[in-house]
Amino acid sequence: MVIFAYRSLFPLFKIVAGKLLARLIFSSIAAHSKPITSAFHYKMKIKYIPVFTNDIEKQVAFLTEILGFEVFGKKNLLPDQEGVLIKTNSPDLFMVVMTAPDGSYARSQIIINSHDCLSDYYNLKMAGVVFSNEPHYLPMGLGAEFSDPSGNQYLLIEERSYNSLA
Amino acid sequence: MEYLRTLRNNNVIYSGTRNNTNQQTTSDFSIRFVFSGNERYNIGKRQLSIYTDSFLILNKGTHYTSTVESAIPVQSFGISFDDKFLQDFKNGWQVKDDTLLDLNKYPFINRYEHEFDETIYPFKGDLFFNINHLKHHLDRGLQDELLINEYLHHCLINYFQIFNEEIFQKAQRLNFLSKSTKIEILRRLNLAKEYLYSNYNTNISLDELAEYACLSVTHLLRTFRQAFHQTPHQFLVQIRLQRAKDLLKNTDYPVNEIVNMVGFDCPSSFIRLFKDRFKTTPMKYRLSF
Repeated sequence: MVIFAYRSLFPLFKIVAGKLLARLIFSSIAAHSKPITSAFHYKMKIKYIPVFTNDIEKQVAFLTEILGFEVFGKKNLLPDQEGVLIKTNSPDLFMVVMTAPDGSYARSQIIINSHDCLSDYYNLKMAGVVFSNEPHYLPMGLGAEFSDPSGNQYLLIEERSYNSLA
Repeated sequence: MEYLRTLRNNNVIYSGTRNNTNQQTTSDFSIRFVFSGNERYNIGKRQLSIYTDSFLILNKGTHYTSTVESAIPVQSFGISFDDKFLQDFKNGWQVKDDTLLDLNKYPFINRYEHEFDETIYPFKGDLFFNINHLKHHLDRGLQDELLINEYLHHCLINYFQIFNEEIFQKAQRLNFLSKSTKIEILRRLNLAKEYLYSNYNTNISLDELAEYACLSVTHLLRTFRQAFHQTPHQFLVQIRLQRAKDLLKNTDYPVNEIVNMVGFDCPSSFIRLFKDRFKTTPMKYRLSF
C-alpha cells in the first residue's frame, strides 16, 4: 500500500521537488543580478565635465563673456596642470577647462538648456558665435549647434513638453 | 498691453484687449489668436469662433467682422504677413538643399492652395511655444526687428507643419481614388470641424452638422472617421474637455457651472470623461495650480 502510494505519488513528488529547486535557483540568480544599491553607490555623482583646449584663457573668455557662465575657481585635476572651474546651474557640477596632457585632445560635446532657443540663438550669433546650423526642430524641442574656439561642440536646446498641451 | 507694430518689411503685429465689434478687410495673409476669452469672426455666412486652443487663418482680401463674445476680457493677438515676406519664405523652402523639412513629406509647398487654408486650426506644438515667446518679448518692448522676423519666420514654418498635418495628411487617409475628390471632401469635413470648434457649447445635431458641411449624415460620419480617426461626437467631446480644462485653470467658475458652459448635460459624465482623458479629476486639476 505504502509502496503503491509512493509509486503513484512519485511523479507528483518529482514535479513539486523540481519546482522548488527551480525557484531556489532563480531566486539565487535574481539576488545576484539585482542592481547594487549600497550607500556607497548612491553617493556617486557626476562632478566635473572636462572641456579641453589649447588656450585656456581664450576658452574661459568664451564660456564667461559669450555664454555667460561664471568662473568658480581653479583646481589641479591632472598632475602639473591647473584647470579652471566653471559654474553650472547645479552647485555640485562644474565644467573644468584644461589642456590635454599630450597636447592633442578629444572635443567635448555639451548640451546647454535654453528657455528660448530662438532668442538665445540670435543673441549668440550677434555676439559672434558660429552656428553649424539654424535652429531646427528635434523630437525633444528646438535646437541649434555651435562650436567654441577650441572645437568643442555645443547643442543649444529648448526642451518642449508637447504632451502637456494635449 | 496694447500695441500695433508695423515692421520695416511691412509685417504687422497687433496685441490688445478687445471688447467691441470690428469690421474690416484683411490687407495681408493673417494669423489670429486669443490668449483669453473668445472672439467670433463672421466671414460671409460662416461664423468662426477662436479660443485659446485654436487659431484662425485669414487670407489676403477677406472681408470679416470680428465680435467679442466673452464674459472675460479678450486678449487678442494677430500677425499679418507681408506678401513679399511670405513669398520669400516659400521660395526659401523650395530652393534650400538642406531644407529644414523633408520636401517629400510636405507636398503643400508645391500645391499650396491659397483659398483652402482659411479656417480654424488647433493652436499646438511649436507654434504655441514660438508665439508665446514672441508675445512675451513684444510685451516687454522688444525692438529688434531681426529677432522679431526670426520668430515670424518660424511661425510660418510651424503654421505650414500644422497645415500639412491637418490638411494633406488627413486627405491621404480618405478612401477616394481621385485627388480632387479627396481635397473637396476634406474641405467639407473642415467646415464640419470649424462648426464644432465654434458651436461646441450648444446642442449640435448630426443633421445640422451635415447640412453645414454640405454632406449627407452617413457620408459625413464615414469620411470624418476616415480622415480624423474619430467620430464627430468624439471630436466634440475632446473640444469640450479641452475648454473645460482651460476654464478650470484660468477662472474661478464652479465645476458645475463649467459643465454647463462647455455643453455637457451631466456633471458625473463630465468628471468621468475628464478623468479618462487627463488621468485626474477636475478638482484635482484645478488644485494643481
